[in-house]
Amino acid sequence: MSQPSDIIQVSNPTQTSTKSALKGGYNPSLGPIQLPTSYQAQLASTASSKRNIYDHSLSRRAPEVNLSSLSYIFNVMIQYSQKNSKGIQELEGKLNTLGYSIGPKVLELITLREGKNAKREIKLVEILQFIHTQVWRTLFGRVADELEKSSEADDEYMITDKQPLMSEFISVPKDMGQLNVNAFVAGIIEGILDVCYFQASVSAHTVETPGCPNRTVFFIKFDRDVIERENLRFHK
Amino acid sequence: MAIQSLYIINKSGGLIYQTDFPLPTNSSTSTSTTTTTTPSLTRLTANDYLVLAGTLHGVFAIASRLTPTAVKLTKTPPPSSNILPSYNNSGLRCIETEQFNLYIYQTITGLKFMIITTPTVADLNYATDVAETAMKSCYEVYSDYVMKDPFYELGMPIRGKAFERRLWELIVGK
Repeated sequence: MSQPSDIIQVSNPTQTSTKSALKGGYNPSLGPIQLPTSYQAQLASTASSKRNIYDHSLSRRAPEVNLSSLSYIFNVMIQYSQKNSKGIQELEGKLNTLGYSIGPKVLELITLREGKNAKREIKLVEILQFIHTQVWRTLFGRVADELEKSSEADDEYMITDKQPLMSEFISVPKDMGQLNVNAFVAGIIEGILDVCYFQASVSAHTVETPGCPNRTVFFIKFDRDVIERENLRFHK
Repeated sequence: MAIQSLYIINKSGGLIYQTDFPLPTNSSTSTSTTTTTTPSLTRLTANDYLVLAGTLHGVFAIASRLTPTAVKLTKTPPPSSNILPSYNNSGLRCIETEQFNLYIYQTITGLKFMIITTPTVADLNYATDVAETAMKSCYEVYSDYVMKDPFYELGMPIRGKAFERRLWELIVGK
């Protein structure tokens, strides 16, 4: 370990006394610079005084993210997806895909936090209730408003959110009428359902009611196989 | 003092938002909660509003050039006490007439909020403070519901419904 510190001394003989001028990393004329171990320890101690996001425990119950930061990053995601898509359907599809990759991770995180109480849901209604309560609480800090079963088909379910967090600040222009940016959240739901072996397609639709102009219905349509499996298992 | 009209002017003098508010009716005379929503001002043509905004922008710029340096407000309030101070330190802050009062609030980015209110008998400094507080609230709504909207293009007219809804909730209260 003494050798690298010698290299530094040769290159900057004046700066070794003032340790603040030392910088690790790559110097084009010297190659990689390794700082003396004592200095690294000092660096680590000063860095640890300021905790960053990776220092927090994953099991912390109420981690909060700044809503403005979230809105701005979601803005950029929408603008990026819009730039790369031709129509509204393609845009919604892209947002859905972005959300999809989050789904399994959210599920993993919630299971980790629940610890011993964690349970693998195998019934269709129970996984939907899990999404309606636990997932919603983790993502948005509150439970979703309604969970309904379609009266027309046995493979269709609906989760309703009266005031979706993601589209709170967003006004969809008239020429993009049917667009609902909550396609992103629909993607998250789809990701969770898929990774739990409840293959489904999820879409978000705006269903306005007086007083709730942003009310969004997440329409969940399960694959035929899932319904058949459910019937075989639980309704003999 | 009731707010009759709000104008938002972008930094290059273009009008990006204009709306008229109904005057609050006296609670003793109004029988139902659904009061008339007829604006208290006669509507001009869209072009007239643009001209008005452009003229005002010009007058504002001239006024800030005319203001002697000694008179310019130099004090900037500490950030803790006042989160969104008006950066309108020189030039035009208010116009007082027998028919209406006009107040201007400028943000650090050069955006101007202008409101027209009914004439007030109160002290003009006090009235300006009240008006600036109101415009500051409008600015907060703007920064939430316009700047966080991915479909809004900077410097273009504001068409978002969410913004309009929140603004009316703020000013009219419903």
